Amino acid sequence: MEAMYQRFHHQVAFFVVYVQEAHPTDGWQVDSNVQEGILYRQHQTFDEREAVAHACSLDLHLPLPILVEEIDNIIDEAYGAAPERLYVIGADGRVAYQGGAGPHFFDLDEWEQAIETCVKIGSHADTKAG
Amino acid sequence: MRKEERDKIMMHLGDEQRAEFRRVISEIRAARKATPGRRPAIRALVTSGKVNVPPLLREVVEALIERDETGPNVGELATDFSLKRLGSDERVRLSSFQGQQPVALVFGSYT
Repeated sequence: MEAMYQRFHHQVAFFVVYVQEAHPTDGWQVDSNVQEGILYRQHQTFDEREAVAHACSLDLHLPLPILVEEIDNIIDEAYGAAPERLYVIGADGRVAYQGGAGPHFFDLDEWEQAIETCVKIGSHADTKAG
Repeated sequence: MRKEERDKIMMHLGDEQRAEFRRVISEIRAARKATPGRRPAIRALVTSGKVNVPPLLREVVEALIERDETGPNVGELATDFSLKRLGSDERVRLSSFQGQQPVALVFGSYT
């Protein structure tokens, strides 16, 4: 994912959309998070969500810019996102790629192919216009 | 169905059911990859019997299907949003990129 960002961030706007916690301590906790000390309750306020997103960004050294979902989770729900999902939106504002519901149907290869296709379409349009 | 409700269903699965659930997921993934062109919908694979879902797992698989079917589909206008950018007072509106450049979105969290 980071490689795609480095390769295409001049032509594609990349964003992580930080949503509700997948495995909060007060919900569906998982052993791997306990072992690694990644222990966060489900966010009660926007400020709390923003703080955890900040910690995530620092700990994982995320190069992608992060947008923080509002605490009402409306966009998360609209995109069928949580716990995780990938999308590519074309320059025409239409969905170019809708990833399967993650994590089970998360497919980075498909997402990357969709990004490459969008970039090619954009280059072709630029060539025709020029 | 909200995430909390989906999680409650998953949390109530026993070890054997979870193993069976993982088998079902593997079958769905294999069936989707095996089909050339546009990948088949999970619901179609389940209702056609190409993927066998035991009765005890029907609720959890239905919840997964429902989420997979949620969201703007390919070709549809993306649901617009305006969200705060971390580390800034700036708000980013998705539709501001229309006519400018594609947008790649990664929805997720730390846990």
